[in-house]
Amino acid sequence: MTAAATGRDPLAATVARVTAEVPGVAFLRPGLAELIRGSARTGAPATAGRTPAGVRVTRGSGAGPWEVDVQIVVHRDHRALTVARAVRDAVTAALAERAPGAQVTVTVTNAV
Amino acid sequence: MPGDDELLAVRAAEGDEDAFEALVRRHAPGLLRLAGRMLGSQSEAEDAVQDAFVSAWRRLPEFSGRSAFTTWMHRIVVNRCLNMLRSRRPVTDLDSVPEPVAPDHVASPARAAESHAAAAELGRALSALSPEQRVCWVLRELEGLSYETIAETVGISSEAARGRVFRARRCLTEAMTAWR
Amino acid sequence: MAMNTGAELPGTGTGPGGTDGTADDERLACGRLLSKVWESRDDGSDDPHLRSCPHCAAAVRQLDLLGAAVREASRGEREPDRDAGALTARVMDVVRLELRPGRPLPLGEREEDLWVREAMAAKALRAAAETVPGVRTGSCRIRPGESGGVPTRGPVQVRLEVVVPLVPGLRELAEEIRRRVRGAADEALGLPVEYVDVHVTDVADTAGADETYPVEEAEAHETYALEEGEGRS
Repeated sequence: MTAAATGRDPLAATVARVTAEVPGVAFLRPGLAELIRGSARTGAPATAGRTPAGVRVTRGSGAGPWEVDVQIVVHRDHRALTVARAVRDAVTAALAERAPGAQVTVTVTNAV
Repeated sequence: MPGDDELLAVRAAEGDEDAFEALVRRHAPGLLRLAGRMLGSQSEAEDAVQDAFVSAWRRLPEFSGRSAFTTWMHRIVVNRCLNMLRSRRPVTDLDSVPEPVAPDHVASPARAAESHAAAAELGRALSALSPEQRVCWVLRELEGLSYETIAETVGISSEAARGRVFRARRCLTEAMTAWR
Repeated sequence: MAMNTGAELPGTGTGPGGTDGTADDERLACGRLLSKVWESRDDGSDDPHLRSCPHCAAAVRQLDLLGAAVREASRGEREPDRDAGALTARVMDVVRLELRPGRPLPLGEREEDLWVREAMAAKALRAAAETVPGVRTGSCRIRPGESGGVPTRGPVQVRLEVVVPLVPGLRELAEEIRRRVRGAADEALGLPVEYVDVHVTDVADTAGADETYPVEEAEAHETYALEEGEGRS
């Protein structure tokens, strides 16, 4: 495994954790596994122990900046842009030391 | 509310799953009843209608809205039921024998008793029809659709629909005459 | 018994035409075709012959007996309403595995990398339009802005179809819808909008409860379509 691959999962876990704490975030866009467990209907899917479908962390080349893609479902009564910015800022801050200059993309996929 | 279905269908086609949920909620009871009548089994009817709705969600982007949403949905359910009936082993489904209920529509007590037992016989005779006859007959006799609508729903000519209903009626009346 | 079980081949759209017609029809002793006698009964046509002819009367009685048995059987049917809720939940569980979120649209400023999916944005804009009393919405398409034919992170273009109540001042009504859609795009989403086209596809008569009176589409568009943009395709 390359160094980049080793670092990916811990970074994704951090992204998932800080994203979930942002006000207005209902949950990360659930993947098949979460949906099949039926948690998407009732609320936040359990994300412990695995990288959720709503987070993708990649790196173009070994030395390039990390690219972080976060897909979220927001609460209906929150402004999508405000939540998306807060997620971007929280993720950027959380990765500042381990992945400086990470490019964070946030997509709001749905509202509940 | 006529027209409302079509608005909801357009929204669902554009990815609004809440609109689709409203359509499912609205049409599920009628379609369950229809499928139950065709299949003579409530659990099979639920499978058929669930499959039909899932298929409808996938096909909605191509739903042109040329026909009404109900007609389109009927067509999907009817096709599903036809496939299920065709794949069935030719056995009498006891589910399709209805429980007799006190009638209030027949003129005399004698006829009441007669039609009472006849209802039970009807269930048996129905399961002996070919799937195609059964489907057309249910649409005509139980859903009260016109031959034109049946034709559109099943995808046959209205003459063919007429013929199938007639032959179903013949089979059913003969079965019931034989029983008497 | 003249059962035709299995006589028809599955999968044939039109069915075996000849046999599906009146091939196994029956001519009654009075000369009438059974299919015609039953059809008259169906249509409720008042044919004197049917009342006087014993053969026809017997045929009609057979059909009536069948009809009585049918009504009887429907009476014993289980009410499907109680199963519909559970079925809806099961259907939606599958649907949520196969959502169609649509394309990403740019949130915020041009230089930001924040997005919202079209289906979600459309839901918010439709809901905003429906805050105008009596207004119902259909299609809502949101296109990204373009620069030289290439989608850009600029303001989006909205095309919304509405059914409006029959009230005086449709133009003002459409303007109000547009205002609320723009408001929601900004306040609920943060989605910069270039223009909102409101297309009135139907006018519903509020006095007549659920009745809707379709307006000629072309006329409706010509008369009521309220478009903001100028000089675009």
